[in-house]
Amino acid sequence: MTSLLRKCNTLCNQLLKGCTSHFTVVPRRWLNDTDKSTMTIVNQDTSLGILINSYSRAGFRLSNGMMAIGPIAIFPKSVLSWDVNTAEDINEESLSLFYTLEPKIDILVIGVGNPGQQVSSKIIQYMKEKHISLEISPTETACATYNFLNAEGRCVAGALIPPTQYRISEDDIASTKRRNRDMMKVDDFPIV
Amino acid sequence: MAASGLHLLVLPGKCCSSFLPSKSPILSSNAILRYNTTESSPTIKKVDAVATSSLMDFGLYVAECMPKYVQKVQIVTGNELEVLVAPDGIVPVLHFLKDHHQCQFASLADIGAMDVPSRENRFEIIYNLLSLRFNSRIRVKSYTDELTPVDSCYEVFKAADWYEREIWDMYGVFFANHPDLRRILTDYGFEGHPFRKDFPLTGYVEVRYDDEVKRVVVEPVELAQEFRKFDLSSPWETFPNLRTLPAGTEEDLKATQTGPAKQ
Repeated sequence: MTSLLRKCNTLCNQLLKGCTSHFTVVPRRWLNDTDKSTMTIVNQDTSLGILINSYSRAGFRLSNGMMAIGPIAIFPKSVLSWDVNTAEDINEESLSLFYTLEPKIDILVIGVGNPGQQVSSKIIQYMKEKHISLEISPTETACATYNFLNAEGRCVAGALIPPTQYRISEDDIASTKRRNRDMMKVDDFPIV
Repeated sequence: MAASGLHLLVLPGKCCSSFLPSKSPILSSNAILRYNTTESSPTIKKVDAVATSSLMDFGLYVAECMPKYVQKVQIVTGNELEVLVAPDGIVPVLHFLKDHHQCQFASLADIGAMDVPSRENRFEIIYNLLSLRFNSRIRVKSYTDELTPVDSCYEVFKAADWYEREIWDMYGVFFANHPDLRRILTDYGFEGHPFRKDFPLTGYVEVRYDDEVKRVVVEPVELAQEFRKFDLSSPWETFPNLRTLPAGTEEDLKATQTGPAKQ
């Protein structure tokens, strides 16, 4: 048994020696760039326009470093404050900016704040007549929808109302603390 | 056994649960000569009488446990148990089927829906459950119309999340207390509910890339060729051996409340 192993070993050594004499040993790294897996974070790509990094009760943090307070009307290259109280208060006048723009937007993403809020059906009908598709959802999902519709390159605008109730994760609390530079502080009521 | 098995295989739609040899001859005498019915064929579904009768007993048991909500219990295609419930009772019945010790249907396989426009409650919601403990399946069916919301069973089965989103997107059935009911399969600005029977196959809008404005535009659909409906029936009958078969029936357990049915 051991002699067999020894024979195998010597055979291997000879083979290896043979290899090394004729070829160079290729290190176990990627042989070419197409083999690598890459990851890009969409929000960090500035060529895609302004995207929403995070939201809170107060407003939104955008990918260009700005913070917008209150409801916003967001476009790929600009962001404006939007004068609207709640989702029910949305009327033709508050949406007038979106349908008078050139080039005409394909989809308007409306973030209604908390999940239960409704937009009046007359407004939905009105925008249908103007040939603008609406995507009405709670603000949490509307932010993400706006982000990846923009990343895809579609003509989309966002009309977002900050939510008052939303889920907070440990990660959110930690990143807020990091931003405020008091990670060591023990907080009974973390403000996100 | 093989003869009745053949009977079950061929009939379309819902089939009766008669799995015992019937008294009336199914095949004509000519066919018997050609077709040897005593041989078992692997392509013919074999119906286990014992299993089906125990399934029927279980169906009656479920009906007795939940008398307020269960409206009908039936066995279709020989070995599939269906429980028809009122829409108010979907969540209680699913809760019962999941948590009761004799049921333990802990796995939600699928939620589907069916649109029958001629009915008053045009949509039928169909829940398919699987019990790993007892290796059996059950189907819970309920109904609703276009405007009445249905209670979401997300609190019972977490898997119901995306299935209910799909039904909302495709049929327009609203699920109350769903955590996040929004579209899942259709495009973002899409209007309409595609799986409804009154939604045309080609849809209402088409998308194309317009070079002038340099982006994808949405326009009303224009078919270059008119929609052709092919008539696929042939002049020759496809199953000459089975000319004299009777039509299939549903075995209604609540009405009969007796033992194994006979045709």
